[in-house]
Amino acid sequence: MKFCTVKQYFDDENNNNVTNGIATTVIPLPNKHLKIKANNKEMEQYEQELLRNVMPQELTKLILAANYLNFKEALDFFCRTVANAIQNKSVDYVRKFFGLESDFEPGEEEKLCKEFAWSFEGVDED
Amino acid sequence: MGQSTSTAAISSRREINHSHRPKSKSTALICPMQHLEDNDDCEIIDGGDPDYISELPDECLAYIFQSLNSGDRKRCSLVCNRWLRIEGQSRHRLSLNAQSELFPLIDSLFSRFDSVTKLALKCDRRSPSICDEALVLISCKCRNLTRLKLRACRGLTDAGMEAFAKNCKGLKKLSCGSCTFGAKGMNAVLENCSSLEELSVKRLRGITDGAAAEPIGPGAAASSLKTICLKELYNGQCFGPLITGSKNLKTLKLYRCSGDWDKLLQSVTEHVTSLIEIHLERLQVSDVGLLAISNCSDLEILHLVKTPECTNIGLLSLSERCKHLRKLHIDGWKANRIGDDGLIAVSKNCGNLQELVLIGVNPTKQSLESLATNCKNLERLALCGSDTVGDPEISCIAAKCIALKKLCIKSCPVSNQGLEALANGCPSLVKVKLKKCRAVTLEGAEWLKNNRESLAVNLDNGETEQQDASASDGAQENGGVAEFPTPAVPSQMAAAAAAAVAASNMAGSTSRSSSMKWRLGLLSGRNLVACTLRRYMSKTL
Repeated sequence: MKFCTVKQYFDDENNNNVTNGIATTVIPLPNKHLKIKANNKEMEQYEQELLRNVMPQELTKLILAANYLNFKEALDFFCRTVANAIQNKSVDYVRKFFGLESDFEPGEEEKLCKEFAWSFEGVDED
Repeated sequence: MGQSTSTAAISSRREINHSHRPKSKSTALICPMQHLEDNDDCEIIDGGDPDYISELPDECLAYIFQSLNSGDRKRCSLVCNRWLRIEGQSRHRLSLNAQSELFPLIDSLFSRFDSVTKLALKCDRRSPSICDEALVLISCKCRNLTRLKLRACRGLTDAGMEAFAKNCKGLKKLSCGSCTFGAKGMNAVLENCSSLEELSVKRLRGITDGAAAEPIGPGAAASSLKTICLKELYNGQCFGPLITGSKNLKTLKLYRCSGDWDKLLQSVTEHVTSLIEIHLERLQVSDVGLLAISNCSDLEILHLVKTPECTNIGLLSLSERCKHLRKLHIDGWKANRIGDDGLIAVSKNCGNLQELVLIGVNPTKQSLESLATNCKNLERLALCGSDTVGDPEISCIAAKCIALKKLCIKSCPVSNQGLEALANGCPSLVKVKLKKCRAVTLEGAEWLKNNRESLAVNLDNGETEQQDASASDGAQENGGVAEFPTPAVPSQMAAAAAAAVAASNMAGSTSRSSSMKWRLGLLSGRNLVACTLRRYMSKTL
């Protein structure tokens, strides 16, 4: 059920969406997940390890793979890992983490900051 | 990570990702597209674009943002234009300072955030708030709004609320506090928002006093309304038709609203018997009201806080008809109108009881035993400010409460000796919290921890409690001797002038009875100290 896409993947040889390397990380995940589902701490440790050993590009590849394979738990996990990596970090850090460049007009970023700074409060709880 | 400035140069990819690698100065690269050679240890699929994040579909990026809080989202939105767009479009929940200065920004704000469904507009009491025009503009931009929270938006009038309601007919939840519109505005919302499920109103100043007050009826929301919460209303009785007409109402909460509520509860429960949860706090309500409530045979949750007109008799008659009671909270205000008799009746009639919180009530071993024996599912028990709960009573609980998981004792004459009973009793016990029990010391708590390792023991002897007592109920409760509440007290609420009442009884939004505070802390399963408790509690409700 979860792996109908996987079967399709293996059948389809011309598959550019998922590299072999990524596949070897994603596909064993369900077993890993089941094993450590109950234990949050282990999950955190695994997450930390993943962060340390895997570069952002690979993480995004993993997300793409999980998305393509329709594997929700893996997708959740990888997205959360990325989110944790950029949590509480500055805009600069986030840019560098992903190798992105700011494409705002000069001064536009500042203007955005100023415009919306006072308009926001913290997270609004229900 | 203060390296080069972001727009001027792009750092080498290698140094970004691993903190243990040496961070070289940024080399002036041309653009990220040409940068390839460093990714030896990771699989590159086709040697193309190294900026993989751009390959992520918008939805995946939005999905990542979902796990971030508001501040992080704000920072992400400043990364680049694409992120600005995606973050804005995937933002469903927004909280804004609703001062009058917000008005000129509304256009651009809601062009950027075009998918907002949950909106909070909060102003402070000193500044002028947005006015009707602003609210109407917002409602035009957020046609799919499902939740709106208004705080101290005194610039909004009935007309504004009406115009808003006509644009946001899908509204499911409205919460307004310290606003000044009136019955007309409230009725307009109820007439237009036929999917409204939750209505919470606190201190609505525009509801005029006396007979001239326009009644507030359920309008088009008669079948959809599930929860009504009214707080600190001088003329809360005009909401009578609303409550009576909400035929599918499940939850009713009334806090510190003046007037006699017995009659209203009678008429409500003649028409509405679907109620599952009822909270009554600081209301003029007596056993007559309790008898009326007993019409709701599906009642599962009941909170009676500082309602000294409610006695054992009322509790007995209620328990006889509401046999599915799961959670019962009673703050007896040390008035001793509710005690063993009422509790024994509850224990005999309500076998499903899971959670019991008693504050300022004096149960003895008699009722505690009955509860332990008859309520086989009793999982959470809290006893606060009881002069009668001492070591023998704890022993009784330990011996008989087989299902008990969480126990909280506050300001009771329990000593270290009582803790000894807990080492071996209550086989299901997971957590015990002891607060302001002077005869319980750190040594006792440590001893218990050591003798029952699976048990979480939390001892709080109240050094941080200074603000606690004074903040509650105009300093009436001091964890010890409380002012004896005479029946005259509730009627004082109605009679007193606005300013005086506001100062003494109806304290600000951050103050609650200290009982509510720690009770929330207990039930949320957290070990909270007073200051965090208040913070937590002021966010809920």
